[in-house]
Amino acid sequence: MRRFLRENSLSLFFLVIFLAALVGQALTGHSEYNHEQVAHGEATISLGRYVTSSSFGRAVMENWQSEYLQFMLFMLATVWLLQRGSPESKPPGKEGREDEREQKIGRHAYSDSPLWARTGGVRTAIYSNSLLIVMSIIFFGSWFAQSLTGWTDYNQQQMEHHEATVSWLGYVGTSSFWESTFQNWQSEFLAVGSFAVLAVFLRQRGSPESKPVGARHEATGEEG
Amino acid sequence: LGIRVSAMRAMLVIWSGLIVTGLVYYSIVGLTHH
Repeated sequence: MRRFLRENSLSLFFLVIFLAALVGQALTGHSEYNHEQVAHGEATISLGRYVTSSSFGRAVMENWQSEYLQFMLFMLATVWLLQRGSPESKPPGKEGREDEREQKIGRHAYSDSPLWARTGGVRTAIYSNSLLIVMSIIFFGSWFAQSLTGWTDYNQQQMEHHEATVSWLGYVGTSSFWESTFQNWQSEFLAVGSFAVLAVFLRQRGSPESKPVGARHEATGEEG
Repeated sequence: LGIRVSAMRAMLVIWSGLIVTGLVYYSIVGLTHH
């Protein structure tokens, strides 16, 4: 049990703080929602009703989609693009998808490599992009879920204000949908871009996300 | 080694389950106008 906790501590730690933050969002979001309801002379709702509402779902989904977009784009961009000196970048000259030997696929795979890395053909082609494929599915899935919950939430507000409701396609064309989308995207791109540059010059001793403390600023793709 | 692999797979199942549940659940919430 102790070994299980230690060997999975990174994902377990994030699982615990994810759930804690989600509970925090639910409690504070519920309080905020009911304040608004009272201010507008509308009925308040229970916590259970709030967490199963489009209002809460929209808030959760719009943050999810931007995180997955960030990871997806970063993973894809670092195949071809470089930042000299960054631990997250490949060194100049290594741009691109690399050959089968470097990627240990097909006849260059080890005997205990994943099966789909060994077989070659379509299966290896799929497995070679599987992380990107799944991250994209989660990104588009959560963006779609944001659009559905946002649509319902938007129409509920329209009805409260005695204004016309819109179709899903109509909602996807509103500035409301795009504002909440860009609001989340800009912060992700800022964080990723600045991290790539800050990590050229700054260090965190012991972290694989950083270069070793004594590494030269020019050293690229060297992880701690 | 078998136990370690299954622990890693358990983590995969937990995280995938969370994500899929969230996506599907809130898609349905939005679609059914809750």
